[in-house]
Amino acid sequence: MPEILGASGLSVELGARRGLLRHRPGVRAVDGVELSVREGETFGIVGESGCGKTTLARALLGLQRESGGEIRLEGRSVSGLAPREARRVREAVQYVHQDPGAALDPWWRVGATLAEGLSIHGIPGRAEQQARIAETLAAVGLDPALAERYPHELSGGQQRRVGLARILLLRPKVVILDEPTAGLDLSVQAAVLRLLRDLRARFGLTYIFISHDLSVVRRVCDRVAVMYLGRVVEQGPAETLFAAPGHPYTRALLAAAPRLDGTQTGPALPGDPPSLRAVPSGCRFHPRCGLATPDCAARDPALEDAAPGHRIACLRWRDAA
Amino acid sequence: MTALRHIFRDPVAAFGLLVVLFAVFVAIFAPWLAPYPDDAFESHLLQRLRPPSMEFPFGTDNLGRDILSRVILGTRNALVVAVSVVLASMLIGVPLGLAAGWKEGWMSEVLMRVTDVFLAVPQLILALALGQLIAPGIGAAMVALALTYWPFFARTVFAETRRLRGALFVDALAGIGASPARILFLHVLPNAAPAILVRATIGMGFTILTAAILGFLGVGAAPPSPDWGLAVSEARQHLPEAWWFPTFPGLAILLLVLGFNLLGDGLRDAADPRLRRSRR
Repeated sequence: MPEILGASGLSVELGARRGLLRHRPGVRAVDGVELSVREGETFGIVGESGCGKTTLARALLGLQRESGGEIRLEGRSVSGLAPREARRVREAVQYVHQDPGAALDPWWRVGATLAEGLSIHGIPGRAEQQARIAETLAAVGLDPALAERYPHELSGGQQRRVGLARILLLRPKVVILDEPTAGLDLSVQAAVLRLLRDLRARFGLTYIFISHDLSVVRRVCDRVAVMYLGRVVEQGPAETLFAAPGHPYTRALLAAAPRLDGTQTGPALPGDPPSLRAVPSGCRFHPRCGLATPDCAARDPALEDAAPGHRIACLRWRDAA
Repeated sequence: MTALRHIFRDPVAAFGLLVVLFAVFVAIFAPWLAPYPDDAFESHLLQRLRPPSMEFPFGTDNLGRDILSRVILGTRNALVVAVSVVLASMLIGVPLGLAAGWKEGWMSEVLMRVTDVFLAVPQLILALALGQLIAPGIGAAMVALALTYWPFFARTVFAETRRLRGALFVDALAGIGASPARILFLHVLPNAAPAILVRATIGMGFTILTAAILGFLGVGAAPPSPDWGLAVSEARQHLPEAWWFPTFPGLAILLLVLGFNLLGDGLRDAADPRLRRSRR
C-alpha cells in the first residue's frame, strides 16, 4: 500500500522565545522523527505522557509549525508553512481531540457546530448542510435530533461521536485520534472502537491512533511506533512488536502494563522520564536502561532494520533478543 | 433562559432587576407619569420650598417646582447618561481587550500598559479638568466618564480572551480551518459576553453615581435640568429646613445605583456558579 502521510527528520521546538534582550531556546519536543503511514491502515503511536505524541500530531496536522524536517502528504511535500497555510494544504488530515466535550463551543448547539465546519469548507446552503449532518450523525450512531442539544447535555460517549462526526463531515483521508478511548468505561470503549473500525471501512480512512493504552493499541493497530523523549525508538507491525519487542524501552513498557492475572509483572521502569530540557547524551534511554553500556552514553543510535518493516533504534537490540 | 431563572430564584438580584426595570419604565413614560411635567423648566416662585403635602408629595424646591415631577423627569437623564457612557466605554474597551488578548507580543503589552495608565487617572479629576477645558456640562462629563471607564472593559475582555484562547474548542476550530476573525467574533466574544454584561451592569450603577457627583460639583448637568445630583447640590443652601429638597433626589440615586449593583452581582453569580456566594 502506498504511503499517504509521511515525515522524515521532523523536529518541533516548543516555547522558544525571541525577546528583545534575551533569547530563550525552546525544547525539542519532537526530534528527528521518521514516519510513514500507509493508506488505509491504523498506525499507532505509543509512549509515556510527555514523550511528544501530541506535539507530533499537532505538527502533522499543521497547527504546530515544525522547526525542521519534511512532511509529505500523498507524495507532495507540505512542510515549512505557517499554521493557517499549513491547515489549508493539509485539509485531508483532521484531528479528534482527547477531550471531545471541551473541543465543542459550549454556547453553540451541536448542529451549529457541525454546520460551521461545512461553511468553512465552502459548502453553503442550509438544506445541503442539514442533509449531510443528518447523514453523518446517523453514520456515527447518533440520533439526528441531537443536533438541537448543547454539548453539556450529551454523555461522554455522545460527545466523542459528535467530535468524530464533525471531522467526518469534512471528508478527511487521514484522521488523527488522540487518546480516543481515554476516560470511557470499558463497554463504551468497545463500542467506540467498533464504530471507528466501521467508519474506517465506510469512508476509506487512515487512522493515526495516539494512545498509552497498550492493550487497545494491540487490538486495533496495524503498525505501531514507540516514542521516547521526542524520538521514535521502535517501529513495526503490531503483532511483531508486541510479540517480540526489540527495544529495551518497549519491553519495559509492555512489562509495566498491568495484567489481570497478576502473575507476570516484569521489571518496572526505573525513574521518571528525564526532562526535555536535559536530554541525556547518546541514547536517550540509557540512564533508565538495564542493558546500557558506556558506549550507549556516547553514541546516539539510529533506526535500523531488525526484520523487514521492523526498525529499532538501539545499539544492543541483538543482545536483548 | 437559565440566567433569568437564576435571577428570579435569587431574591436580592430579583429586587435589583425590578428596580432597574421600574426605572426604565419611569424613564420612558416620564412626561405622562409626572404630575407637573412642565416643572422641568418652569418656576413658580410663590410656592417655593413647600413641605410634602397631598398636592406635592415630595414637596417643592427653591423655585417652587414639584420635586416628585423633577425626580421622575430626571430618571431619563440619569439612564441616558449611564447607557451612553457604558456603550462608549464598551466600544473602546472591548475591541482593545480582544486585540490585546488574542496576540501575544509587544502590541498587546503596549495596549495593556496604556490601559493601566488610563486606569490610574482619577475619574473625578479628569472630569473636572475636561469640564474646564471644554465647556462644563453634561457632554464633557460623559466624555470624561467614558474615557475613564473603558479600561475596565479592556481588562475584563483581555482576561477572558486570554483564557479562551487556550481553550480546547478554540484549538479545535483552528484545526478545522476557522479563520481568526471567525474564532474571535463568533466564539470568543459570545463566550466572553457574560463577563462583559456583568461589567456593564455594574458600570451603569457606578456611572449614575459618578454623574450625580459631577452634577453636585457643578461640572455635570447645568440648571434647569432636572438632574438628581444637581438637585442635591442646589438644596445645600436650604438645609436643614427644607429636608425634603435633597432627600428625594438622593433616594432616587441610592435606589437606582443599588438596583444596578444588586442586578450586576446576581448576573455574575448566574454567569459563573463557582463565584456564587453562600447566602444562607
